[in-house]
Amino acid sequence: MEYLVRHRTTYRYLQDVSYSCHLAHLRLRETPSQHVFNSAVTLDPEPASRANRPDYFGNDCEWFTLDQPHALLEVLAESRVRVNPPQAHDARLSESWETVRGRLEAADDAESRDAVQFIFDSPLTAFSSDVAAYAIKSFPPGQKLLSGALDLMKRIHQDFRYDTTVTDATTPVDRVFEIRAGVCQDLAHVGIAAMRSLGLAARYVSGYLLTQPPPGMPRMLGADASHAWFSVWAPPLGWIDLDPTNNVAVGEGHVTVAYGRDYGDVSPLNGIILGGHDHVIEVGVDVIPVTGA
Amino acid sequence: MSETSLAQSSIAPAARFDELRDAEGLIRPHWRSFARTLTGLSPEEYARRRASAGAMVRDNGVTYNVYDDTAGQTRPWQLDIVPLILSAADWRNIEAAVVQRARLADALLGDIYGEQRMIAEGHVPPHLIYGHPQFLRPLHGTRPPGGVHVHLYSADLAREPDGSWRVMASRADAPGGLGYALENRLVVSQTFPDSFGDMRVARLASFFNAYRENILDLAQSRRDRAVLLTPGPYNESYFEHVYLAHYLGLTLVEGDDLVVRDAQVFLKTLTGLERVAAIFRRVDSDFCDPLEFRGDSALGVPGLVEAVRAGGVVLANALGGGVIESPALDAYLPALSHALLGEELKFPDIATIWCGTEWGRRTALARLDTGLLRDAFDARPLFSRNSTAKLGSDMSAEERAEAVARIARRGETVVVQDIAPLGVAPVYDGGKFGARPVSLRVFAAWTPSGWMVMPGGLTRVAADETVRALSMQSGASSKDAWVLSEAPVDKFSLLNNQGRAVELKRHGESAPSRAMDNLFWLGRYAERTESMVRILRAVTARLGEGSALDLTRMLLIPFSQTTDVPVPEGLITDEAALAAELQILIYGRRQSRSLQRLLSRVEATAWSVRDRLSADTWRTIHALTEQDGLPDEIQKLDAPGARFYLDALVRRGAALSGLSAENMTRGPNWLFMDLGRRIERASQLAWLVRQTVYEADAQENDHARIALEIADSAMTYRSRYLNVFQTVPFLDLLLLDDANPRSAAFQLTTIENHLRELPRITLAQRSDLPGGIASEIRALVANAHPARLAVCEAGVRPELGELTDTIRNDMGMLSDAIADAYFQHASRWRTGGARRGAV
Repeated sequence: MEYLVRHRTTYRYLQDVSYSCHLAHLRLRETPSQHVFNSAVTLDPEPASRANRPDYFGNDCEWFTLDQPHALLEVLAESRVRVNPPQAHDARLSESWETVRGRLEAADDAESRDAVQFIFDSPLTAFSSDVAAYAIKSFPPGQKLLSGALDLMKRIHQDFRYDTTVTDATTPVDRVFEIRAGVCQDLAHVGIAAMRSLGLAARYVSGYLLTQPPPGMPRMLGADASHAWFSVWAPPLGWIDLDPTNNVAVGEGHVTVAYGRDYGDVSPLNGIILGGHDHVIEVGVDVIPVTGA
Repeated sequence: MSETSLAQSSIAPAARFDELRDAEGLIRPHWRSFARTLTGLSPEEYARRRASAGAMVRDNGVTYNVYDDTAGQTRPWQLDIVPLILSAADWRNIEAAVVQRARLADALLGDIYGEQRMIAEGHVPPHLIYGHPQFLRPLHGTRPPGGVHVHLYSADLAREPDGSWRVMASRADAPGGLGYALENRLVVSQTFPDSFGDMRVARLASFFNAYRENILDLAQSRRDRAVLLTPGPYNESYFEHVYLAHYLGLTLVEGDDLVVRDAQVFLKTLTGLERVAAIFRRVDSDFCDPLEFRGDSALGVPGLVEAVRAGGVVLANALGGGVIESPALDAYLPALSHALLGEELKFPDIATIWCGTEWGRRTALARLDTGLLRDAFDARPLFSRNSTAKLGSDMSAEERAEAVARIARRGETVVVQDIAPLGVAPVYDGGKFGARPVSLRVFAAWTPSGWMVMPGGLTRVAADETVRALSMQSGASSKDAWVLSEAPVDKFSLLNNQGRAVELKRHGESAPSRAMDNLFWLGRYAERTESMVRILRAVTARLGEGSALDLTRMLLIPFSQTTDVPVPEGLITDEAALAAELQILIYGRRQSRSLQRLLSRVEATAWSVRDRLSADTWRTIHALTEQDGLPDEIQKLDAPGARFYLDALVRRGAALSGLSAENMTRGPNWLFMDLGRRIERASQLAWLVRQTVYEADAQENDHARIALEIADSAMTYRSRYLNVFQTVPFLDLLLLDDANPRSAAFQLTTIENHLRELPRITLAQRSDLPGGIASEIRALVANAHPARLAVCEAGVRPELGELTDTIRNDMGMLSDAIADAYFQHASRWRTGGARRGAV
């Protein structure tokens, strides 16, 4: 499936901003399941300086500063991408979670060493014994890793209420766990913290959902905005993406932007401004299938 | 932890190495000369030297802030005057081992932020790097100037019972203690000048010189600024930052003072932006750039990492060094030393078991009861605040079960370490030697031709025998460390740099805007303090005379109304209630309206510009704001005692203004401080006159007399008009007479002159607004007519009311206009993206 993705972010400041400095994770990365034809970020006003480079995880990262007074900043990311049909994974083919844990401990090949990045606490997903007690229920002894992760995803979907009013971008996972509600970012963090509480590797994926579902299919939560889910390391199958907000394994309707340890590593747009006082943000996302492709 | 368990965890003295005596109890050869000196002193002479060293520490304002204490209280630095003496042979070992450690640290950081060969080849588990919160991923692939990651390295050493040394902890990010070591040396060498001279004690200055010069050599240009970046006055080691900046000739800056433009770092100064070539960093790496690292940090500089990538600035140390400060890494240092240097480690670390392997978990469980459990990445000093270390012997059954479960399930996040006994060094008291556990922090500086170790160090002395007593925060003390040389010592000094001709200057370097802002407010707060003290004194002096209550309504209550919780007006119905309120106003620590709170602001403001105040000025401020020995706010008011205290404050305040008038050069520091003072005084005077004689009534002459007393102009009035009291000459003297340094007119003329002076200093064209406001109000006052001001209508003096209100309003506007024109304080905000999934 091919898509055009347009992601427009507009900051309106209540007073002029004299100087600002931003980091963006907005250009799509190449993954085994998607091919990016092109991906570009347009800025208005023109920045004083900008630089583009991959971050530590291989995501595309854009750095820019503005040094003329401005009351409005518009950041437009436009991409064309092909998402391959999902591979059907037989969860029974994944190794038991104890075996995977052993692999992560030994870390004797490049793939497992890389996965070690994703077993430790990160700023937004700190260990708590409550999360650990929640997680272990999906992982009885000998449980296949992917089976356990799918069960965990299902339970998060059932136990957590999708609510856009109770959390913000920096709500830590223990708070989300306490109120049992949040948006896709928060549910992804719960999944990540749960996997890591068992010493397993999990990462945060930021991306988009197809805005209009195919005829006859229900519209999914999290469309019209950027979306997020989590990914688990399930050798020998590799990294498998799971969307707890919609209780589905990630498929043809999910476009990946970037991944990291948690939201903080791949926040779409982040900035420090001088002056400006308060600001309002408007975000619009369109994911449009390219017909005839 | 209970007292008994503390006692149990102490270590028998016999099992410790004694620095002073050998196994037979004889004094070791390198201690003999100093021991003779000590025992040769009479108890009185020893006590005198100790007291004078203590006074030197206090007077120099050497402090160590403790975050836990209320309101940023500072604690005097603890120094034991008996140094730790090390023989030349001992030192050769230490030097070689610390150089090896520093080389290893630098090489390891180069690998971690570069190709990560150590991980790929299995010399270190990836967990210890990838799991460390101080592994700062945005820095990966960035090579610092010259490839140098570590410019200053420190290792904390302790003696094994057999006299060999062990490394307790090391620092490669922003090592602290160098300034304290230097201050200790200054005090102790003056306390024992003869011994210091005779014993060939190695000098420290060459080390500091090498440290500074080699960093400056790495910078792109020596003509650009070199700064010392401090977290600011609330940091526990702020004193040291002030001290080092001064000693090394660096500009002391906070994150707010710096800005990144075009991937270059600049300092915001009065004369505009100045390029910064080198940053001596005392802010932890993860706080240094709120955009790329911790978003909650207010200490850093947004864009600093980008500037580092561009290579335009030297950071010393380079960012990211904290990743190798972890107890877990200790277990792998021998292997890393082999792989990176091809060498055996000369000194071992504390025996450490990382629980991320099957073997580690088994061994750790066996050692848990006699060792301590700690987070794998917790590099905080053992048992300091927030330290995660827990003694196995202290754990309850429940805690132990929890620890065992954690080791089993998330072993990679914990270590178990042996408890290491420290050697003991002598303390001397009452003519006898005692012994206290010590550790020695040794510093190494990078040079292009190899590492240089400072011959000395910061010796820390445990408060008692328990294992947890070595943290400075738990009341431990410190010592100087004397390294004895075999050859004559190098007497190079950094303070009187002979042999190099210095270019004559009539002014210092352009000052950071923030420092000027603080000096401006120091002037305002100091002046406001004086007003408040004088009002309090006037009221206190009139207790029992009946006029105290009247004065309270007229001055005290209105004065307090600028604070959050003013004097409760309705409650002060009699003198008893007034006395209780006065006690709070004079001595209260918590109420925002109290004098002590205002004094705390004076102190905090002065503390943040300590590098710009002379030692005498600082001592005067210290005397002014000293709270020791003051009564409690709930005690009954002792009126004579309070008057005595307030009198003393008036004198100390006068000493402060006298010092600034006589001793500060007429540069920007003085100008801004004096501007603040003048603006505040003009405003206070206008207020005072309005409060006392705006309403024309039977007591107005009494009120005016009080105003003269508060404005310190009673003498002048009497000398001109004797005892004839009238309102017109009163108004003339306090508002319009520009020959009276206590009149509003005098302040306004001075302000106008100062503002004319400023552009000469700041060069860059600034807003004319301050000058405009000042000229207009000065002209208004110059043209005012005293008799017209005194005219009454319906019981009040409308023209007087208007003039005094205008003065006060204009002073407020002027203060804001100066801030806008010169201090450029745009506040910083963080913007996030829209939330994921929040539509």
